Order: sequence, then structure tokens, then C-alpha cells
Amino acid sequence: MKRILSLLVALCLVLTSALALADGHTLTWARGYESTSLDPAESSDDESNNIVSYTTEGLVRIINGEVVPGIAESWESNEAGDVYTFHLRKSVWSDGTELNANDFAYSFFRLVDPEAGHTQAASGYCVKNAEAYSAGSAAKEDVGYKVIDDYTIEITFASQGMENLFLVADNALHPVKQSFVEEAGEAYGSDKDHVLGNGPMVITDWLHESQMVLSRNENYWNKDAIKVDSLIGMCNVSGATAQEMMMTGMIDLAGFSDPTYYEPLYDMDYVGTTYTNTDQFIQINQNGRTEETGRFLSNVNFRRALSYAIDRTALVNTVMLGQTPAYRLVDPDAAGVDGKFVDEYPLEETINVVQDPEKAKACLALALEELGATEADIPEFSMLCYDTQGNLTKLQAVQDMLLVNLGVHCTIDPQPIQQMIAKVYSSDFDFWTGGVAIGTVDAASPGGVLSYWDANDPDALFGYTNTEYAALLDVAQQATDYKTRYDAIAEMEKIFISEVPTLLLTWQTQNVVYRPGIVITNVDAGFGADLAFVDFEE
Amino acid sequence: MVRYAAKRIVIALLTVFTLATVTFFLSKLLPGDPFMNEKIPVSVQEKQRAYYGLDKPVVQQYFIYMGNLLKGDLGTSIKFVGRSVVDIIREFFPVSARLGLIALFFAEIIGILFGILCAQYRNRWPDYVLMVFAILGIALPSMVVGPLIRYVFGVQLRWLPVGGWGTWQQVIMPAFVLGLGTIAGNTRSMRACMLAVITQDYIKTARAKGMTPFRVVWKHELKNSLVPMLANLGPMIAGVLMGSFVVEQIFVIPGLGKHFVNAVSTLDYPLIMGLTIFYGSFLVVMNLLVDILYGFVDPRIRVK
Repeated sequence: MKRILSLLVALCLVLTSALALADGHTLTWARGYESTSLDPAESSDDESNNIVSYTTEGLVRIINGEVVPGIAESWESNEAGDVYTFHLRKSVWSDGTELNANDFAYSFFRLVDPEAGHTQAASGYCVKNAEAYSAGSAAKEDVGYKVIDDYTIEITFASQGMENLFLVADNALHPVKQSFVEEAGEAYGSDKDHVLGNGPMVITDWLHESQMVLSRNENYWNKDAIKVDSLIGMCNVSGATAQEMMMTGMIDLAGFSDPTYYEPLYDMDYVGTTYTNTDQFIQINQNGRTEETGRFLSNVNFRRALSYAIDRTALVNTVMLGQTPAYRLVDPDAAGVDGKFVDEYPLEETINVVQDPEKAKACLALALEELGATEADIPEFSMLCYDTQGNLTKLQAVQDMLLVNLGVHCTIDPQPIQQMIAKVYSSDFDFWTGGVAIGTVDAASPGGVLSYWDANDPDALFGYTNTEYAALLDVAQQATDYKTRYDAIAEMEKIFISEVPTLLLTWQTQNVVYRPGIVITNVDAGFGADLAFVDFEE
Repeated sequence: MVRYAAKRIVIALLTVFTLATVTFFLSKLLPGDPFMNEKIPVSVQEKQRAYYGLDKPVVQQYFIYMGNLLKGDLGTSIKFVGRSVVDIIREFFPVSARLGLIALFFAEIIGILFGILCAQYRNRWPDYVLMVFAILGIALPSMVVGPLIRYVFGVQLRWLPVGGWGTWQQVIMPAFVLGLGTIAGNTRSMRACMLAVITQDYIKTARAKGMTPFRVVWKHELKNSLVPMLANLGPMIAGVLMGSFVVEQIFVIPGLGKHFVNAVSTLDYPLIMGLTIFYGSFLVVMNLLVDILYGFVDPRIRVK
């Protein structure tokens, strides 16, 4: 009897394995939350952008930080780098119908349509006069997006610079099919029946807030490069849930930033890819919540004192687990001209990774002298944050460090997300805890890391002004070669460390953990692992 | 009876109208703006506000909203672009309702059974054990019980899937967690109701007539104890069927519960309004049905 049972069990195992092989390469992964829209002109969150990048393809793609051909098989530019001519390959939509330059032009003008008000319209403002057209103050003919013939597009950008090619890769500039969009109306991008793309994958099933199934697009121009047959995204899975689902084999891949979750998985022979994706900081409002707090926060020595009072290593060891203390602005993964940026541009003066109470007090004394104030005059500051446990514990630790090392009192002001944003916009904060996505592409792009601290405009969100910094930002953004660009960024970084416009704390690292046999071929600092181009070991 | 029912229906309609009005103005008092975002140009933010009619005076917005409400139009979600609030409710409510009904069904049966046992064995060990369970069930929040049983039965024992939705195995743990509080509450209520009935003269008479203990419980004690329990049923059904933010998060269930919280935090006004009116109306209808049912079961109510 026992032998019969053993045979039956063995037979079941063989059949199960055979069925699994017959399934082809299926990868189930954890999605943190539901996509809000898969319309490229409306897709604003990471989970939406990920899917849009799988289901649509623009003129170019970015693979591991390099611009590679997408639907444009080649391109050339003028010497200044502000006019590009893209030559499109013959390709089709996922429904098999032809895709050409007119589809791209329709999609672009739909994005910046003055009547439509698409949320991602700003992504099109890199094109000359697109912003004015969107605001209703320029004619369509004046916009620098021209169809030369069915397979040639000429784009005149708003500024010179090598980053233009990266900007044109943005999801918002990916094509949508006019007849399909018009038929779908407002429902475009909201469910599986109202999405049509030209990318490597197509959506075959989408149960909102539960799971999304994507299959290989057999009409994709580069379908041989797609090794995965289907992707299954489990929605609302993160943290402990993702960890336990991996432990029990329900999912194959998930992203984690907290070692509490990913370390036990590595112990179970899962493998992973690590990358730095965010600068974590406490932003200083130099305008201040009140005139009095602004008076202190606009003093550079006061800001230096605050920075020296913070023990970044202690934060990482206690409340910001899995992160790396930031000793400079540009992260260690960022590319330089030939190698890593941090190796090519070493710094003499770095941000302190452990607290230095003596220097902090010395800077405070200088600040008080400059301000004609005493320690008793230092006002109480307000620390604004999005109301999460992680933000609260982080701010409580910093609050304590500032009190112990400097005698500076702070209160914490936790708010729901929209209320927090409203407070930031109305300058109703002294400190605000946030993070900004980093990457070589964004390093000097509008909206990227260094331009986050707009030093041109005293009325900007954080009130930081520095003409030298602003001029260097222009140089970096308009550079036509890496050397010029990175030289400018290196100088900006020195100013940043010296003037402390923000209290940079850590580099947040993300761990993409997956079962052995999966090979991640492309990682984006913003969106994580590119699952459409994932490979499998035999 | 018709007059009694008509009166209840009028009160129910007035309640829903008041709820819609108060919620509308309260949601407008929330600080913040759903379109405020550094990545969205100010001109686009203005177009978005105009699209959702948020550029008009609040009173005008109110009348437009109430007019649309009468036509059954709850508006379009701000967060989920291109999806109407009605579609969102239609998609997620059946999931929450299915889970809630299963949880409620077992919670009612088990709760009533435990209550009967507690009353029959008053101040003896079965009573103590079940009351400890009842107190624990009320005291332990689902955010504690959920991850605990998920870890034990999902990860350690591998008896049930850790999360997800679609198979009967995926219903067991969330239904238990969702129903735990109800079981506990029902146990306590049923015990109290039954103890009140047990001391009545007609029970003593039944026993004196020589009826078996089982028949006394089944024919007399249970029936009369259930009448007060009926009063809790309306709000209980509405509460359980609308989903739970915590249980849905823990067990990855695509229900309606999480939208109640997320809609407020993202200032999705149409969704806030739609969900509140839907929940409020459901609650009112359930209470209305219970009120009418109560009138049938206990004629004294109608007279009052």
C-alpha cells in the first residue's frame, strides 16, 4: 500500500512539474497599489507608469540609464542639440493596425491640448512652444513637433542639451491610437477593454484592486527580446504581506526597502537586485512658517548647525533601516563620465554622517552673533510630515537630536497627504520630511534632484536663492556632453553641501527580491525592475 | 401597519437627504486640494477643477450635485481617472458583501449558540470560557488577529493562502477575522437576553409541565430571546457588508472598505460623497426593514 502511495505522489509531482513547464515563463509580482490610469497623458503614479511602459513604447527607451531605439530606429540632431529628427521603424499597434508618425503627433497634441487639461501635460513642455500652446497663447503651428512624413518626426526642443533625448522617453509622450481613444472617451485607460498600446505586453485581464494579467504582445516589433510569456501583478501587496506571499510561493518577485522584510527571504535562497532610488531629506523652509522662524532658517550658519546636530548613522541603525547615511548629494550608484560619479568627483567637504555637537554649537554661536540673538530667542519650529509611522519615528529621532545637541525645540505636525501638500504650498511649515527620486537622468533635469532646489526664485517653495547655483543648473541642463554636465553638477553639489538648503539624511535603497532563475536585465531608479524585459535562466 | 411603515419610510428619506447635505458641506471644509501637486502646472490644475465643477461657488456645487443625485449620477472619481463612482461601487461592493455575508452568517450562528451555552451554564466553566473568548474577541482588534492567524495558518502551517481573492480557501481567514467581533458581541447579547427570558413565569410553567430541557430552550427561550437581538441586526448587516479597511488590507481583498479611507485622504470628493450616501442609504434601508419586521414580530411596537 505504501509503495502505491509513494508512486502516486511521485506521479503527481511529475505531472505538476510538466504542467508548470507547459505554462511557459510566468512571473507573478507584488504591486503596491492599484494604477489610477493607464492613459499616458494621465498616468501619474509609479504603478501606473510601470504598466504604461510595458504596454506602450515611445520613440526611444531607457535601458540601464542609456537611451536605446524604441519605435524610432535612428535619429540625428543639430550641433546645439535642440533639434532632433527621428526616423521611425514600420511597426503596428497590438491590434495589428499600422502605427506611424501621425499617431505620435496626435498623441503629443492631445497631451498638451489647451482644452483637455491632462495632468501629465508638463511632460510635453520640453518641446518648443508646447507650454505656450497648452496655455492658449501660441498656435499649434508654432509648436516644435512636426511630422515630416509617415515615418519621420522632427522635434525642436525648448532648450539645448543632451537631456532632451531622455525627456522624449517619458511615458506621457508615448503614442495612443486616435480612433480607439475617441471611441473609449473618458474611460480610456481605466480598464482592460479601454487600453490599446504598441509596447511589449498587452493587458489580458484586469480585476481592479486584485490582479492584472499581461501577456506578450505578438505584434511588438521586438517580440523576440521578450522572454516572459505572462506577467501577473497582485495588487495591494507590499511589506509583510509581500514577504509572506513570497515565503509561501504565491508570488515570484517583490520590492522592499525594509530589511525586516527582505532579509528573511535572502535566508531562504531568494536572490535580489539592489539600487538607490530616493534621497531622503528634511526640507528647510527658508521663508519660515512665521517671520521669526524664517529669520533663523535663512541663516546659513544656523542651517549648518542643524545639519551637524543630526546623527545620520544613528538614524539608519534605528529608525531608517536598510538605508545608507548620505555624505553627499549624488548617490554612489550615479554614473559619471566614464565610471561612477562619486569616484570621478571626490569631495573635500562632505555631509557629516555622525553627529558633531561641538561643530553644531560653534555654528549656532556664529548664527546667533550674525542674527543678534541669544539662545532664548530661538523660536519653536514646526516639522510637517505625511502621517505615516515611518515619518513620525524619523522626525521624533531628529527632534530629539536637535534638542539634545542644540537646545532647539520642534513640534511635529503629521497630516494626511493632500492636507500636507496644501501646507507646503502655503508655506505653513519650517521643516518638511520628504524624498525625491534620483537617477542619472534626473540629476539635472527639470523636476530632478538638483533642480528640486530652484535657486532662482525666492518665492519658490523652499525660498532658496543662489545665483551661482542657478547658473550652474542652466549649464548642466543645457550641456551637450557628459563632461560639461557633470562638472557643473559637481560644483552645484559643493554649494549644496556648504549652504545646506535641505537636511539631506539618507539614500534609500530598494531591494528587488525574486526567486532564483529570474534575471533582471533593466532597472530604473524610479520605476524599479523592468519586468517586460526580464530573462530566465535555463 | 401601513401607516407605521409609511412613517418609517419618510423618516428614512429625510435621514438620507440630511446625510447627503451634511457630508457635502463637511467634505468641502476639509483642508487641501485634490489637484495641488508640484508636477501639475497651475493652469492644468485650474482646468481639472473646472472639469469637476469645483471652480463654482460651493452652494451652486451643492445644487448641481443634488440634482445629479436625483438622477442616480454620483459623479466621476478624481483619483481613478475615467471611472464613475457608481462603477466603483458596483465593482467592489459585491466582494465586500459576499465576504460580509459569509462572516455574518457564521458569526450569528456561533454567537447565538455560544450565548445559549453561556446562559444555560451560567456561572459554570463553559460560561467562563466562552465569556473570556467573547471579551477577547471584542478587545483584540482585527489588525492584531489578522496578521497573527495569517502567519500561523498561512505561513507556518500552509493550510490556507496568505491572501488574495477568488477561491473558498481565501475566504476563511478574512471571514473569521471580520466575524470575530460579531461573534463576541452576539455571545454577550444573547447571554443577557436569554438570562432575562429564563426567569420568566412561562418558562417555569413549561418546565413544570415536564417539557424536556431542549424543547424549553428551542420552543420558548430561544424564540423570545431573539426578539431584542433583531434590533442590532440592521446596523450589523450594513457595517459588515460595506467591507473593512483593515481586513481587506491584511488579506488583499478587492473590497469597498479601503475606499472609505482612501477617498478621504486623497480628497476624492465624488467618491467620499458616493460612498457615504451608499452606506447611509444601505444602513437606513436595513434599519427600516428591521423596524417593519419588529412591528410584525412584536405588535406592541406598532402601538407605541
